[in-house]
Amino acid sequence: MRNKFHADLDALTGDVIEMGNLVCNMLDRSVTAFANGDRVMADWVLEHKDEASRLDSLIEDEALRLLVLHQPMAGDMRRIATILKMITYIERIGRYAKNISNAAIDLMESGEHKPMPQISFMGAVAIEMVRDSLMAFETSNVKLVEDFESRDDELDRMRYDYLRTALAEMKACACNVDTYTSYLMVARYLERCGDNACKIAEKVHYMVTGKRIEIR
Amino acid sequence: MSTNLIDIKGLNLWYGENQALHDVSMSVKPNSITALIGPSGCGKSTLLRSINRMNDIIAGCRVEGEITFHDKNILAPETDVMALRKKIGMIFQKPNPFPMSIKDNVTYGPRLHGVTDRESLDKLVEECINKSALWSEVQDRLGASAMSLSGGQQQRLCIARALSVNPEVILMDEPTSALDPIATNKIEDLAQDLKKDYTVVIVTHNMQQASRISDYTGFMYMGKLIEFDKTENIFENPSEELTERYITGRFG
Ligand SMILES: Nc1ncnc2c1ncn2[C@@H]1O[C@H](COP(=O)(O)OP(=O)(O)OP(=O)(O)O)[C@@H](O)[C@H]1O
Ligand SMILES: [Mg+2]
Repeated sequence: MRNKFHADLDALTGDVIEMGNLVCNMLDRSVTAFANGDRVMADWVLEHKDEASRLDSLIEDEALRLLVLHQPMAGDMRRIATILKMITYIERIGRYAKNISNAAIDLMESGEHKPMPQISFMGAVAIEMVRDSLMAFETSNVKLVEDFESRDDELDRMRYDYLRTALAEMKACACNVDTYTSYLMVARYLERCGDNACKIAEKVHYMVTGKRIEIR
Repeated sequence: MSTNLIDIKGLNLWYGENQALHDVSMSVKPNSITALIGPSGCGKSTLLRSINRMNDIIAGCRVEGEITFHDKNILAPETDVMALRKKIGMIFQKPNPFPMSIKDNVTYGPRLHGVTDRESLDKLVEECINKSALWSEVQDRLGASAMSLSGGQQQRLCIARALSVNPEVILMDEPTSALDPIATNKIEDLAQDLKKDYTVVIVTHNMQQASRISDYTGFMYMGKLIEFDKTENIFENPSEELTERYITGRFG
């Protein structure tokens, strides 16, 4: 049996998937912008920031409306509770994408930008986590997030590696300080994106199984 | 000794050829509220009525299994059914006060059981009507006809009447379905209060009501008890697919 409420809940789920895809693209392009010094990509991210915020408020309003009007139970209740938390995490990831793009633009404008493909490795891990957490939501498949703990460790390890490289480069020449400072900032943002993907994964796990877990 | 006040084990019930309950097992903890939910005709009222043997009066009704109350099987033929119904009272969907004064409604049971002393009867009236949260509304007109009360007040009077014979368990069959939201609220609050001194089993079609007031919830379907668990588990994360579908409105 399908009723208006379930149709509305499906539509709301669709909006979350749309917001997730948008933010995933923002993150992907911000990393490309930073790693390759690609201004077009960086600008694209900044242009879409407002769209992510718009979806965030739209989804929140609709989720609260459904809660009030229908007092959903069980799986429906867990889905809406999950959505209300998830959009905060997705929104934050969007903000990190914006920060990464701004860092790329600053470097490009100061003429300090050097290609840094290493950051794309870390970016790839973070983006994959975000994508899988969202895919787990879309498909109700928690298998996709089973290994998040070790993936999150991997991100931490990469950030630590970058830190050592950056310090060495900064010591070698003061001319590297600006570049590697933003390099480290971006590594930090990517690590935070991984943390937020873990948060999304925890909520999706609750939505699907009804059990609360903590990823580290 | 069991920690349960009531234990239902392997209960089967037939109305003539028709089996209305299939192997139902469940227990009721003292000083708790247990809710029974499920679609129309699934056997909620039948199960409730079995607990104080109200089904006895239905011709062709046959029961198998065991219902223990204080560890004694109440389905045994030697059970004193009158005494049982004194211990396990019942409130119905439609308020059914007797066509007599408010006060007489409450004293009727005790007088039937031989209490005649005026002073104790007066005390009992105040006590029971107080417990059913009706006192402030009727204390000035205890002699007025019960029929002059509103539906919600009548239902609380019926609860006062049930309390007058000093029961341990109160069975309620959709007690608020004929009441407006405010009167419903009062009955729900009252049920919560009663839990201190009594044990309540309530049948309701209102899922929010079950989730608001009960400690345990049983979901019934086609004469079977599909799932029985703590209320928060049933409404947050039921184990059975059928339960999930029913409470999220995806049934049928
Ligand atoms: N007195 C009776 N004689 C014969 N069959 C009955 C009797 N009472 C109930 N039944 C049958 O037993 C089954 C369960 O009925 P019951 O009244 O217990 O359901 P219920 O869950 O309380 O439904 P509702 O929510 O509509 O009150 C139904 O199929 C009904 O037709
Ligand atoms: Mg019924």
